[in-house]
Amino acid sequence: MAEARRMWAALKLLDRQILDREDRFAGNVDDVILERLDDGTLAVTGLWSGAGGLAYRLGARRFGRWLQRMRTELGDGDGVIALGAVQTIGNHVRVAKDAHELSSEATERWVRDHFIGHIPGNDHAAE
Amino acid sequence: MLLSDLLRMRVVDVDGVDVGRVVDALLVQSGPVVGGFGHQLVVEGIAIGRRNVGLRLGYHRAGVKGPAPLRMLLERMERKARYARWDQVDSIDEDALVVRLRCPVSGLDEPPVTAA
Amino acid sequence: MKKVFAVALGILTAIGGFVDIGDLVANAETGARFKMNLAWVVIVGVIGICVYAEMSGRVAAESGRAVFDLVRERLGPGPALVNLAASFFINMLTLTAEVAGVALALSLVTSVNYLLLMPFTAFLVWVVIWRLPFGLMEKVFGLLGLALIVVAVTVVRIGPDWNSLLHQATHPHISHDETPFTYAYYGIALFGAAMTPYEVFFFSSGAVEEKWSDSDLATNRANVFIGFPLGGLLSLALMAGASLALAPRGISVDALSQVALPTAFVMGKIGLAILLVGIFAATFGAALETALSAGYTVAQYLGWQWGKFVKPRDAARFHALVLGTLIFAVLIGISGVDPIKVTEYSIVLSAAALPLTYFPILVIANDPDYMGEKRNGRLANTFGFAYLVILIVVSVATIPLMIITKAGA
Repeated sequence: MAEARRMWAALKLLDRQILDREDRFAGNVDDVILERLDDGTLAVTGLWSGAGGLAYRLGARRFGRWLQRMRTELGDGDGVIALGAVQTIGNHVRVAKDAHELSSEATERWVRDHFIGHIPGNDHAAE
Repeated sequence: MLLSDLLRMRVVDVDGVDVGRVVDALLVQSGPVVGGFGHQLVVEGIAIGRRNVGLRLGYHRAGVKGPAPLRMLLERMERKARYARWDQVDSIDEDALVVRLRCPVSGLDEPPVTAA
Repeated sequence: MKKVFAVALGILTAIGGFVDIGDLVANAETGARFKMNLAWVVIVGVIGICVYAEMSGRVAAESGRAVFDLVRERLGPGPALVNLAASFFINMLTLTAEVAGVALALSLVTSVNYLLLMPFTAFLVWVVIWRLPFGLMEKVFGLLGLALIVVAVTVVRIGPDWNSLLHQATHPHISHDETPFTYAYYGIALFGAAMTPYEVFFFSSGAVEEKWSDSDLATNRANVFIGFPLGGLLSLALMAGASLALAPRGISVDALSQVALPTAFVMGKIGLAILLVGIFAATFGAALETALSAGYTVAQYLGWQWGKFVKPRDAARFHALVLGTLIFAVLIGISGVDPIKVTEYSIVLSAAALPLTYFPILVIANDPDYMGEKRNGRLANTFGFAYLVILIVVSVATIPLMIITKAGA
């Protein structure tokens, strides 16, 4: 087996652009979730993306957590992308999902459904 | 725990000497397989230093070399960086935001440079 | 042959696209007030924008990531948010000024008050962004912007003593009725006008969206290194025209329409008509770029889908933001603010904020992880670093100068 890949977490993961499987921009990595495994090691289990995660990063930690709870209760989801859904980590962080399936993209869908989607011509690219 | 929590923590060695703050965590892809990602990313060690503006710019750990005056300035600011392997970490106190090491400061190396 | 044509077209577009409302106002103002004694600043500014536009194009092509995305990654979310707030505010002022410029050019033709034309202008800008093939519009406005060459013709028609103009430009001095502070303040305005950061936001975002490759980079270099200096010549011609036609008459530029006076004096109605076409195209093109840049900066900071190649419904937040910014800019414009003042503030504050944008570009351009073999060489780094020092000095000096001179009064 080739030597295992190494990367600095803050340098390589934090604030990186997330791409979905169709190359669409789907949020940033606002924080990285670490959990203890049974053998005592600390492992990355997921990425937190969206307003809650960003607020947490910026120091408004209670507000960030509150936002996450609110959105979960509203049915938007918690904004967490499990590491298993991540495909590759390079210049971008690519996920093996469609942006529409990500809970962190709920606001994008809301703006589309309630505003932009009602303006004539919203379904045609300008170029 | 979140990575940003870890990055807020202070580090003290086995004798209670303050080593600095956690500035980054080195991940290695060697854990159990998860979903389409493959082997899970586990923390292999933490870089400890003084937090400064140059930290994220890549001069210390990602091989950024130019322009020369900037490099010299930022390397000066971060020359005391240390690296603790995960097996040198004794405990992580999430409430007090302290990482305790099981070895003295003198037992620590410099952080490795990873290009990729 | 086709390739040559494409390169030529790009260069012509860059010339026309270089000048915007900030250049129009700053060069005419300083020409009328300081004659050619600040011409050297335009040259310093043009070299600076060449260095950093080339760098940001290269970074975008190699990393596939636009400027504000990298700003956040390298500065961290906190400092990048401060940068975003400043950049967004300045960009909004610039957008207001550009829309006012378009409206003014239209009002000089139609004799309708420009305040009434601002909402109409903003609507046109929005329609182009929403529906029309943007690349084509960019070329059309760039080429129409070449009508600004009429200001160079104006200078030639005046038949100035070239030696004396050149002597003024190469032996700058501060006249008795000005202070070193006002001189420096207007110098910063000229510098900010030449190096406006939105050009880099727009430029790098376009490069990412068009998925630039190495051959695009060569074209990019030609556009930047030939097009921008020629655009800078137009700026100098504006300054020379004002110094020859306005300064001797004691006319200062207090209204946008006065920018057109030298050409109107010398070239009559036809010259004026050509100039108005140029002003319309230059400001309309810049209004498109600043409106989009408002969306680019925020969307890239937050990771939203952005861009003009995707359907608006697939970049919903981006389009909502662009539309909202346009509406807000019009509200500022019709609130009765003086468009000249808005322009001045936008370019002077741009100058103060420049290091926030250009510093991360310089660092990323040196990152082997992103750039590989295409990272900065010694020349790019020497110029890049020298300009970083200049930018920081300018940035520190701007606000105190603004207070001391009461904003150039």
